[in-house]
Amino acid sequence: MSMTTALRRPRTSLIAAATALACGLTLAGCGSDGGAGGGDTLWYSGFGGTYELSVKKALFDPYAAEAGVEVKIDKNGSNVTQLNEIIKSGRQSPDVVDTETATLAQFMSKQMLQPLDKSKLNVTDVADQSLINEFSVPWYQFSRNLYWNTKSFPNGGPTTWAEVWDVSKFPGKRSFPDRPIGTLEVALLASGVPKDKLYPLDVDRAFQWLDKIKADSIFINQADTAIGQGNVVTGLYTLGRLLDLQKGGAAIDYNWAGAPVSVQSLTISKNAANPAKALEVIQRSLSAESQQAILDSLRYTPTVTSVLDKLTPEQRADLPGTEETNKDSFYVDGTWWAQHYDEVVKRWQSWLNA
Amino acid sequence: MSEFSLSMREVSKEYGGLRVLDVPELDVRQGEFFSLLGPSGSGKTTGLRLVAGFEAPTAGRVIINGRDMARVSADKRNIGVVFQNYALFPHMTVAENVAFPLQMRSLSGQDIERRVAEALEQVDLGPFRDRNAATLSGGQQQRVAIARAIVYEPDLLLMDEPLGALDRRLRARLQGELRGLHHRLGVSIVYVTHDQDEAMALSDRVAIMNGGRIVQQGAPKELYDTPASLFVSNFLGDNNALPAAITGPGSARLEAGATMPVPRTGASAGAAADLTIRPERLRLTADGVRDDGPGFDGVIADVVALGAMTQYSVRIDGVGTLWASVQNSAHAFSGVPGDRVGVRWELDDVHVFPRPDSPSPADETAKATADA
Amino acid sequence: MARRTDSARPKGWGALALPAVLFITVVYVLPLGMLLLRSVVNEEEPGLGAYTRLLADPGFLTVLRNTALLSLLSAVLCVLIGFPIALTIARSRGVFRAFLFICVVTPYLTSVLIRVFAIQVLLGAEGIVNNLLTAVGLDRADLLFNSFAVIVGLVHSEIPIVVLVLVPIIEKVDPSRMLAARSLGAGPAEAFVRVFLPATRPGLQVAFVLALVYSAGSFAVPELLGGNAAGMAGSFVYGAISQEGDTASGAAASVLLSVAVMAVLVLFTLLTRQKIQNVVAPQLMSTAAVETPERERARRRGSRRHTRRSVSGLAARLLDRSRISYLPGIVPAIATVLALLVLLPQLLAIPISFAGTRALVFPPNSYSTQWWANMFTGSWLRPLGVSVLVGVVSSVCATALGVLAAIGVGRAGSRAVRALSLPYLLLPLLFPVVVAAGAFFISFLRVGLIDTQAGFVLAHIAITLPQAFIIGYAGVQAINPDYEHAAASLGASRLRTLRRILLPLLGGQVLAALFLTFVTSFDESTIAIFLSGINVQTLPSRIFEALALQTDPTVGVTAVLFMAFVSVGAIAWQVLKRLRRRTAQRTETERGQAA
Repeated sequence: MSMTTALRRPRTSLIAAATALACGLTLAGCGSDGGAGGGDTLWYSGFGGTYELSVKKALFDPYAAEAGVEVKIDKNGSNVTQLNEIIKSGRQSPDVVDTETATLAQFMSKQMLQPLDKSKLNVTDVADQSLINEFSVPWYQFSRNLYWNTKSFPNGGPTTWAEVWDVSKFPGKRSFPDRPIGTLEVALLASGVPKDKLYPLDVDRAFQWLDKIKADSIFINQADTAIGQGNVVTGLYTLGRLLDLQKGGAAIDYNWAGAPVSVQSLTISKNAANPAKALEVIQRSLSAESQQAILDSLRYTPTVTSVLDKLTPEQRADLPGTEETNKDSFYVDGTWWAQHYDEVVKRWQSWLNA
Repeated sequence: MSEFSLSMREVSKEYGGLRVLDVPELDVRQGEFFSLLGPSGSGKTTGLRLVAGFEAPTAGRVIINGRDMARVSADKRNIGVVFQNYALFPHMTVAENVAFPLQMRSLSGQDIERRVAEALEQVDLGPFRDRNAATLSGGQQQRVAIARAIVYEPDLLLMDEPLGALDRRLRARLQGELRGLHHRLGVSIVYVTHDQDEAMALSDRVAIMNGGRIVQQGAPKELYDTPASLFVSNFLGDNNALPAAITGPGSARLEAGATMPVPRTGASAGAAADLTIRPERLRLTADGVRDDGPGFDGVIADVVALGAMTQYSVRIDGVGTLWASVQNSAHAFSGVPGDRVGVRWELDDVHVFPRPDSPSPADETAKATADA
Repeated sequence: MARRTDSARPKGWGALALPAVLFITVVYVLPLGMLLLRSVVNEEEPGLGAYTRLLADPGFLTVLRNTALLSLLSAVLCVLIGFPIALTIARSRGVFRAFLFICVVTPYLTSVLIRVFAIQVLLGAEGIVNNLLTAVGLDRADLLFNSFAVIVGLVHSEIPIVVLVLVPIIEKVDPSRMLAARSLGAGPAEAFVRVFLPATRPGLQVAFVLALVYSAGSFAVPELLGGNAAGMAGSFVYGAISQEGDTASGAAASVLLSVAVMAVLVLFTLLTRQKIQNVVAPQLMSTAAVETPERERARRRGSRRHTRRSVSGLAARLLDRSRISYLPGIVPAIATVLALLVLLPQLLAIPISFAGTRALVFPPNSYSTQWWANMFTGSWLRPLGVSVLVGVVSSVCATALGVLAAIGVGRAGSRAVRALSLPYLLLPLLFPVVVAAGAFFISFLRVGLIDTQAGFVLAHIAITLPQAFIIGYAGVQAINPDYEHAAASLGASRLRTLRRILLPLLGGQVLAALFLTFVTSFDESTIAIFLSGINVQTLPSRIFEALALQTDPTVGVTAVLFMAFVSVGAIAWQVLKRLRRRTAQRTETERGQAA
């Protein structure tokens, strides 16, 4: 090779190298600070929205201020499969996972949680000690409820699930969550199964009844828009959201008939980087002030006697999981769901898309 | 310094197996104005690009000032190129364009300043130095392009149809300027054009190209007077071309029927040939005026007055129509359509070009050698 | 004689394409390969298990049917609506043209999520459309969370691209064609149908297939507007990979979706004899490319064409008889209405952003500035910051890689290099973004790039690089190679030619590429939704979250900010253009005086 080309060649590659270098540097500059790290951060996996705001205010903000910890929040709390993938792959998983009855049972059966160190946890204030297990302490109780649009039904909406299924009497679109937990149960209630005979769920019968109403329903995770704007006139939706919508001026009402009730717990996932901090948060979630704050903002039922005892009968009549509402509502059976969820959800997805 | 500014030896260029240029030998002397003349697609621009180093020859050697350019890239050849579209950098001013090659040669700021001013002076563009090149007129752009190509005193100046985009009047003026420039600078110029008048007017020597080959080279007058082929003859100037067959040494029969004497050539009897006579070599004589030169009598069919000269087309039985140009002067021939007229010439003014496809003894020999 | 010329052979710039080719290979093709691999190699269903299960699943088959039907319908509507707008833009000048352009382009430059949000507001039971219906005494209609809403969303998403493709092609049609037809006795409609329309056919074809392909790969629109009633392949892939962790199904569905899109594109090129480049990069479509298929078709069909009288021709003749088509301004009037309809949903964001409550009700029953205040809290500012940073870094890198590659390919020494690298660098435009997002998700998970800014930047460079490349390539094609030759002859080395000549000449393209790649990255929602996590979230992902989890009028605030940003940008661009034109005029006059 002659001198001229020897001198010329590297220049082209010089540009290439410079470009690569520039890209590399900027990427490095972006910083891949992946993972929530150890020490001073706490990773909480919840559900977003106003719920997140309320929980932050009631629990995480005061905790963060006190413990000097930065709390990072995602919205995948109910995504069992995703968390399972993370844990199976050995990657770092959230410190605190927000669970309801059914997801807790699944997390437990898939061995995705760390046992709580009871020696460091004071649970004496918990009213129903039978709800405490190796991995969880009850935090609050919440429900999904039968709602209806009061503008569409000025003379009163459906009072039972059977009436929700009665499209001629209550015309209009219904909305249900886009996941099977709770939805199969209300379908069975509509079909006439008594609420104490729900479990084990007759899945075939449930789908049979869901078929009847599918054409008149949407199955959607976020139904705020649909409910708030009156696109749907009745159905099943999370109580906290219904209250939110009412506050926003939406013409809706709800009742306790056949409302699926769940117990919410904060748990520590297997690959948590900061289980000690997570335990501190769980302890704090059992404090009277934190429980009171949840009650005030979300209207979910406390689990500690110090707050429960102050509730008036009127309050209790409109809270999930109290003696008063339990007459009409029912508890979701986490054990059943833990055993059957994977198989039911496949059928559910296919049914939903078809 | 070598005798030749540019030499090409056995140079060829192929694109995808198609040979577009084949130059066994070409030499441009120092200080010579050398033109490559040919129709479009004749390979002249390809030749120029090989010399400039924009493309590499498929085979052969390009030698500039005695130095083989095989391993020298375009930016190291110290050649000036003037492009047909000028290729002035549109994002630079006139002065920046002219300064560019000097900057590439890492001259000092003062030197650049001075030489840019000089070069712009040379082309009368001093006042335009800070104008954006794109806002100049075609002729002005042309001169910037020249200034840019000469400012670093290149060993060789290549010009690719530099006047092609200009109108006739401007072209004529710039031809004059180019000649002047060439005299002043004494630089060797290789000039590509398809305009025969331009090539004739400017060049010391001309190479006529066709189908990727140089079909003839020489001084303009030599080419004009003694073209080596019908192509050259037709390409340079106007012609009366008469298809004919050689009937014997010094005689031919035209396809139209008539027989006429021709200069003796190697063509054997029976060979097909084209006879050509330049229009200005024809003499017209009024009916009855005696002229003993070879020729025919005919009738004027058409008269085209061109100012300095007049063209007559004369219909002749057994020959066809011949065009004759007559310089206008007080005593020159003058006639009108319908006039009978004698058309005469000198025997040597007739050129005989045997048809390449017709068998001739010379061809047969060449073929035999090739086969062996 | 020995060939000893090779070392002086002027080298092409091919090497400049190398970084981009490498980048696309590692960051785009490799992940796609992993996606394909994951669809057949996985614990649960090795081999073709995932495929056979999906294809036997009535749910998935419905998704496929929805995808095909909804995208086909939207594509047809897009062309029908887009054509009069494009025609009017092409034929008008000045303010009216600018107005129509803004109507159509503003949505194009605003996030698809914001458009979806606007459509939710528009079509809700309490939305404008239903209020109009009740105002004229009709029943409320069920417009949201069904196929109708999805079609509205898809059409609204794709119309800008249809118009942007059509305008330059319509402008290329010689208007004297129409005049000639009129002078030969055709009425306006007939002249239009028989003379004008055929000339724009290649553009219509490209616009149609683009709308079709983009719709088929759409994810946010069916996810947020369709409910469960109108699930499409994109939302299925999202659900499977990102939500249910069912990578096998997601990967298999992605492969099927990609194959379907490829099949459509291949079929399209076979039927219309247009190059695939024209589809993914209509900007590269030259007049020649537009005219060749037309001529070819004419040649193929031969005389049959002349004797057959088309239905549309007859319809046009009837229209001319009725004299409706003689009404002046009928097309511009239609176009104006349609363009306004395209713009309208955006404007709803303004009152929504001042809503008093969280629930989406229009008009809001009370007003507040709480959402504006909310916008300026960490919850929204942090994602905004990430989006800006990711946008800037990836647009700079994508532009650098893309424009260098454009020079490399445009000035490649060998034809083969060009023929191979041109389509290769356009690959990211061929696959639906949701497929790419799934591929990024699966492969970035392995190397720890999920939920990192580096991951976003890499993914965004990969998908915006082709845009920068196309813009640069069109620029390079327009540069006379003699500039480079001239520079070389004047003694400039290759590096100096690049720096002093090529890059300055491509200045406009570099700016345009920076702008477009930035806007694309800033707006990009699909990949963002797959890659976002607790540490890093971009604004579109934040918007998606706000829309998917609960309604949040802060989305309206972002929409208003978006629009303001785009408007300021557009106005600045116009002012710049005008200034430049004025300078040009001034020099023109100077030149006139000088001459």
